[in-house]
Amino acid sequence: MSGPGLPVPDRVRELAASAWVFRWQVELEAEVRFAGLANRLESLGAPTLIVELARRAAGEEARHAVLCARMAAELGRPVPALSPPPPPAVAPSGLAEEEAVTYELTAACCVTESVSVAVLTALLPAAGAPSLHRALRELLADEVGHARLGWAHLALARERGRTAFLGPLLPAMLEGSVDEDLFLPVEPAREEPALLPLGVLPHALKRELFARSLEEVVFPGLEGAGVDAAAGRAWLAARAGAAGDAPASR
Amino acid sequence: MARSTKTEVSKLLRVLVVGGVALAAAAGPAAAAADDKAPAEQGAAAKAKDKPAAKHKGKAKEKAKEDAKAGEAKDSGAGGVKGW
Ligand SMILES: [Fe+2]
Ligand SMILES: [Fe+2]
Repeated sequence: MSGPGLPVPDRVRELAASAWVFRWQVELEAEVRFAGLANRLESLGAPTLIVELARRAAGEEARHAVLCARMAAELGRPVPALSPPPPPAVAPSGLAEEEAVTYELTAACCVTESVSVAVLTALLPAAGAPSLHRALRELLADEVGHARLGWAHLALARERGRTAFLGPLLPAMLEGSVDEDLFLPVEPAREEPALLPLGVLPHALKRELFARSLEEVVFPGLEGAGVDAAAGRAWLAARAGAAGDAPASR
Repeated sequence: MARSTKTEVSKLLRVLVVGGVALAAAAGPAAAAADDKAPAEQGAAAKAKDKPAAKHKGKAKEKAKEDAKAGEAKDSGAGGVKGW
């Protein structure tokens, strides 16, 4: 893809702004998802602590959306007036309710929130403006809690012997968690290091961080919870291989 | 990737996963919930323990079920959650 002909600094700013708009949308969807999960966990008789963490996460995501909207506006791109529609269910149809909730928490928390923590950790030292640094720190602290919620739920599900079903579903879960172009080459402006001080990872670094987070956090975590991650590992190897990435060293 | 970023990612296993497992221990009564909700399954599990052959058969059946699920995953709308 070629750039629209803008000078690079403008294009970089524009890319950063659209990343923050996308995050605003992601945070609003997460708010709705956690509110729903809190109710479903409660109905399933999950421990009060887990239900409360999910409920608290919903409120935190609403706050994150405000932060992301502010960052987008500072970069010259106010978010739309209307909130995005509620997120679609991600669990496959045909799962029992308990498994559907476990699937959704695994996708949202164990995978996506864990990767988000890695992204935020990488972005924090590069943040240019103090306001961005503060926002990233606030987001990071909350997302750590959201990732832990997923790992806690999975540990409890493991005690009940209800996690093995996730193994064969990992490729679909992982595929749905990435942008279509994560493993493809992109326009040069998206690889600009100048994105970093605006709170956005250059594309190749984003891809590398995603792969490393899966290899060093998500897959070992899943295996520890009684999930065979082989299908997930194979998915990553195939996607990273197609992108020409060398497998990450251990 | 910078060496410091690599180190940070590897630290996250402890921060997130081990932190989550500790949270689960604090949250407590998963076993109690299991007692309430799945007596039939628990009975089946106990029986399977008594009969290794049955356990094996159950496992194979479970594996076949999982393989079928993987094939159907895409059609059934299995997806993921996009994030940062
Ligand atoms: Fe968030
Ligand atoms: Fe979150």
